[in-house]
Amino acid sequence: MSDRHQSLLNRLVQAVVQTKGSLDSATRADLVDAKLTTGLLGAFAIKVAENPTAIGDSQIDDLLKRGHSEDAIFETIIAASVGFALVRLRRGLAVLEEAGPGS
Amino acid sequence: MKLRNVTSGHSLARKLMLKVARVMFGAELPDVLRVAFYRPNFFGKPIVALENAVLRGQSDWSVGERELFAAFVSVKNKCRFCMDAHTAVAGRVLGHEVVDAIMADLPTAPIRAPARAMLVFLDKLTITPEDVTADDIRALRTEGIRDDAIVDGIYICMIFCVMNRVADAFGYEIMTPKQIEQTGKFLLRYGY
Repeated sequence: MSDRHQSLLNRLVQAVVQTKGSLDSATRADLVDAKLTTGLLGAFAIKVAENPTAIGDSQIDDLLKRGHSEDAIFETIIAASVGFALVRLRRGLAVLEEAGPGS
Repeated sequence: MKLRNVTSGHSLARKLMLKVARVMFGAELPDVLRVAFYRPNFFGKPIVALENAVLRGQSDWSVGERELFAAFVSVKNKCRFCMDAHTAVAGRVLGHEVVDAIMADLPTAPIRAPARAMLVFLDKLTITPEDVTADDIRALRTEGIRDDAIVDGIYICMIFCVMNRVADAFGYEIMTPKQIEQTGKFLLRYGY
């Protein structure tokens, strides 16, 4: 199976994880891998993935009051969204591989 | 939008670009552009490059079908903003009545069998990815869909699962009919 889009996907993930930002790269990598599930930021990331329309101004204010910058929140939203989507991409490509050679 | 920096914290150069884009667009810019222009090396540039390759690059699927897949995934994710935008593009190519019929009742909608099969697959991959199996891939191949086209569909699902989450988490304003019309026109003419 060939994946013509792999290099552009890698570029996206690399940018989200490694571009200089407010959150450290390790935290962003955990968000992209959907592994950050504890603490205030983890709870926020879960909400981004599971019920983003329910995110209200009060939750953003809470994060700001507890010392997270707007840039950190921006990065969390993007990284958690990418993580949510990668679960689907990886599953789709994995079953395509499992199905054996096609045309 | 919920974050001030994404609404108005762009660099001077980006603010200028947004002003020019506003004039070209002919209506208030949709919030998606403010996010794309904010710290573009972090997200805007790489996601737009991926979108252009997957939704406008070479594929067995037509542009209209790929935009239909984008709209369909957005419907499944209940993302009104992206649904409006991509339904507008798909409708311009496939016909608005066809797109409406697909969203209302997929099994009876007037659409090519391979595209219908892909939509069934995208529904499952979006909502219950853990239930997707190799049998679902075999069902697509039975319709004559090549693996490269299956990969394209999977990537469209991925891209719009990102964009739907981003739109709803940032709280994009729902577009006006004028913005929707312009979005359909611009995405079709210029791509992403």
